[in-house]
Formats: sequence, C-alpha cells, structure tokens
Amino acid sequence: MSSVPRTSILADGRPLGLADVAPGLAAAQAAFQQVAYPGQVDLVTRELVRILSGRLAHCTICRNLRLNAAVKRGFEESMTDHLEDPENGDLTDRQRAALRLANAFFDDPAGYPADARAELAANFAPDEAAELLLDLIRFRPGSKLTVAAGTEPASDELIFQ
Amino acid sequence: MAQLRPEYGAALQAVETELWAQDVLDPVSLELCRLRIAQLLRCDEALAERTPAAVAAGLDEGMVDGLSRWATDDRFDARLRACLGYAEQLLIDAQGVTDEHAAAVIAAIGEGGFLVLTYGCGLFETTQRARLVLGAGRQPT
Repeated sequence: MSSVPRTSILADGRPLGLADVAPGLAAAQAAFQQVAYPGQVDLVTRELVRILSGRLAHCTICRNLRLNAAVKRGFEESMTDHLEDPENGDLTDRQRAALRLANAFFDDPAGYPADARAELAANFAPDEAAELLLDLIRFRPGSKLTVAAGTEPASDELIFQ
Repeated sequence: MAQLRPEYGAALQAVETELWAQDVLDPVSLELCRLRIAQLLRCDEALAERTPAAVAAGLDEGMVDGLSRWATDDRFDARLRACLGYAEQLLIDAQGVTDEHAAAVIAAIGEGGFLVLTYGCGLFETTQRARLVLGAGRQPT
C-alpha cells in the first residue's frame, strides 16, 4: 500500500488526478457513480458487494468506506464477516446470491456455476441483476486508480460517509 | 445487460467513449493493453474485437499476433513494454505496483498516461469479467 502520491502535487496541495489530465473521462466516471444510486437493489446488498469488491482490490478506501444510508437501512458490520464465504454468514438468500456473483466475478467469472446463476435469477429480477453487474464493473477501476496512484489514506480505519 | 438499466448502462458507455476520446494516451497503446488483458482473462469475445479508434490510429495486427510475447518481441519498444507490463501487474494485483514501477510507467507515458492507463485497465478488466460471468466471453473448447 502507498499513501504517498505517485503523481505531482499541484499548487492547491492535491495530487494530479484523472480530472486534471482527462476531464471528459473524469466527468463521465463521476456521472457513472451518480447514476448508480438509488437503483433497484436494496442498498444493504449493494453495500456488501461494494465492500467485497474493495477488499478483493485491496483498496483501503473502498473496503473501509461505509455508506451511512446503508447503515440506516440495516447494514451491520457483522455482515462483512463472511463476504468471501457467504454461505457461512447470517445473510439473506438475496445477499448470498449477490455475493456469490461477486466472488465469481473476481475469482473465476467463466466458472460461475449454474446453481449460483439460478440462485441469482430466483432472487433478483433481470434489471436488478444487471444493476449488480454494472456495480461490479464500476467499483474496481476507481479502486485500482486509488491504489496505484498512491492516494490511499495512511490509516486503515472505517470511514462513514 | 446495459439495456435492462438504460440510464446506468448509458453512463458506462459514456465512460468508454471518453476513455477512447482522451488525448493523453494513444489508442494503440490502450488497445494493446485491452487485448493483453483479454488474453490473460481468456475473454475471447473481447480479444476478437478491435476498437475503431485504435484501428484508425494504425493498430498493427502483427503486433496483436505477437502480443503474448511482448517482453521479447522486437516490435514492442520500451514504451509499449512499460504499458503492457504495467497492465499485467494491475490485473494481477494493483497493490504490487511499486514506486519504481509507477515511476517507470510515468517516465514512459507521462503522468496523464499513467492515470488514464490505470483507470482504463481497470475498466477493461471488469467489463471483460462481466462478459465472462454472463457466459458470453469465452468460446467453447
């Protein structure tokens, strides 16, 4: 992990970022984030998938960020104990199905098993499943940029936002 | 997939459009990295495609043929090797990018190129993973 920026520090104290070099791309990325919410899938399930994505990308910000809106809707920290092995956690069928999708996505997407696919279809309408996949597409590029650019925070503590 | 959540899908498409429209990293380097990621993920569908911007910029199919040998193939210069090595490292583990590695990439393609390539490689990876998880990315063997 590096919390020392690998790009130049600008006059305002910020490290050079994507918005400074490719403003159109950065604006599109920001719009991609904005349009993601509120969405169709419940926020707690999406939060679990987001945290798992951050963990697997080893991104300090993403794995530690907790959305207050999800906490208000029932997210509890104990839910994150079994993100990688959801069958062992005290999770709903819907949460398990979403996490099995996410684990397959990052581990062996071509090997996503038929029973997990059926479980997903049983718990999510097609537009909801599409939303989960779009979330999975969206999370990691920003995480990797944060990690590789050395803009992770030095501390490894939960961040509520 | 994108049609099922049109607004969200359109936002993804806009990101992809802007990635290829930016002017800090050339489309051929970006395309070769996209194709290398497709090789490593075995996403045949993505590997078979060519991004029009890269083709228009002179993408050499001979280089695509030699892509898996980029480290030793003379057609790949130091700049492209820096990009491809970085793309591979990002795919395997972004935490494994060292200060020295990042500095070498920045020396090759500039800070802007480094930032765009980093984001772009992440996007190539996840869009290809989505195809694979949907069962659409890999041809039957």
